Amino acid sequence: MMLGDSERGSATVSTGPSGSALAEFEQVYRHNIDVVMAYFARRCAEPQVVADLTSETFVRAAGAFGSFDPRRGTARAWLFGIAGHVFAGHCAQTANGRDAVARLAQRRPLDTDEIEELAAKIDAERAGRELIARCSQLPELERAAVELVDLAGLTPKEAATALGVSRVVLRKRLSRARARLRKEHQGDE
Amino acid sequence: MSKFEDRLWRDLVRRHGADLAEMTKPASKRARRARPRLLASTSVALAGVGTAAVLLLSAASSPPAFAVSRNSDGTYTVTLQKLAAVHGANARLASLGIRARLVVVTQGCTVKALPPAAVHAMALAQSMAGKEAPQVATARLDPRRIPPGQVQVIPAYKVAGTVHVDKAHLMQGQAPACFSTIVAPPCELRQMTVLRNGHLTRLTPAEAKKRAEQALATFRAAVSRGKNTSGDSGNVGNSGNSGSSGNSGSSGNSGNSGNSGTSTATQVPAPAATWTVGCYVHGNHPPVTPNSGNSGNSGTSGNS
Repeated sequence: MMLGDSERGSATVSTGPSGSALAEFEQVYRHNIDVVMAYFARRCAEPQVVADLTSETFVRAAGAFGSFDPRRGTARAWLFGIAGHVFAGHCAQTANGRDAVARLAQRRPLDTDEIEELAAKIDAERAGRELIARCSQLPELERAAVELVDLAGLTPKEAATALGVSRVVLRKRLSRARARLRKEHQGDE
Repeated sequence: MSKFEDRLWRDLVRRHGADLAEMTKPASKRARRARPRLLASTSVALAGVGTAAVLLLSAASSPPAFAVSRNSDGTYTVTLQKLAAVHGANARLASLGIRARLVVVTQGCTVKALPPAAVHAMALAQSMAGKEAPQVATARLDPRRIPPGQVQVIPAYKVAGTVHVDKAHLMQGQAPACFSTIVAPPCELRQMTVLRNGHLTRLTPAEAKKRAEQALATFRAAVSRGKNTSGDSGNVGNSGNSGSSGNSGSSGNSGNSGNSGTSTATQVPAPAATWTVGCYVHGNHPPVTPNSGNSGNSGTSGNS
């Protein structure tokens, strides 16, 4: 799941002096749809839910694109911040016994091809889901740091932006989480 | 790119393409220009000058497309200059923990119909298009008055190139993604009675007269017992009438009853005429009737 440097670098929006926001947003969308979908595929095993949460993330991003400031972080970090909120909202709604997905205005039923595509995506993220399950004992911030950096392929700086913490804190938490996982893994062996 | 990704992109363009296309300036330039504004307003807040501290100005273009300001009385003022800035303003409201959202009124929206009260405001804005239209639209909201589990929605729309916002409406649950433009209700002709005070009621003239007499009798009884002052007696008249399920015509009658307790106590505000009005259709008027200017509007609210 780690991204190559070229791919990661392309996540930053390049804004030409005459570029329209629509073109910029399309670039952001094309470069990040895959990783955002994978992010939800690691969390949900239902194709329709993955589709809805991905749609919700990009709908919110499109609506708030005017307030996106590239100097504060990359588009990918910004998108993952939104995705985190979307997923938290989904969990809160589910915990309350409400059908969170149904309330999403963007919901549209998937056709067979799309379900197959998303099912394949969910299947491909099986290893990531297992790692997340292993991280369940970790504090929330450490778990999120491991996922964003080691699974989603964000740089520590991007992950810090997405999680709203400083880079120093992120690195400390990431290091601590990796040490715990390593220790746990050695214990298993 | 997969089929899902393509379809999602088409959906995004359909929903936000117009707004994004309006944002022609690069994001980096927008941010650079917005920074001095933010700093300036912060310094104003620190100095304690003025009654409202601007919390955030839009990072869009110059001049700012939206602002969310906190007033000295704890209320907030949302200022909107461009419809495309709705999402930025909403993000700001969310970050402030205010359960209020601006909701764009768009054609073809199937999510939610426009609240009836907003229909009037939009009709008024259309009738006033080009006449003293403000350059920015402002709405005031009080987060303390938003009950738990509800959200205040502020319809926002553009008429003749000018952005308008309506007053806030409370809704259960989440704010809708958009409001549809007005969909005329099925036209239903109703017998309406016009009272002397100009109010409309769905009561028949005889019923309205009887209701007015009852209110007057209650009022007189209260006065004769000497339990209430004349100022209170107006309230008695109202309470006597309150059983009429909030019919504005009846409550209008009670006001007259209160007045009649003085020099015109024997007058009963009998209905002046019986008119037939139709349901309100946006852009149209109810069937033309004598003096139907104001009363026609009242009929609109009754219908909606």
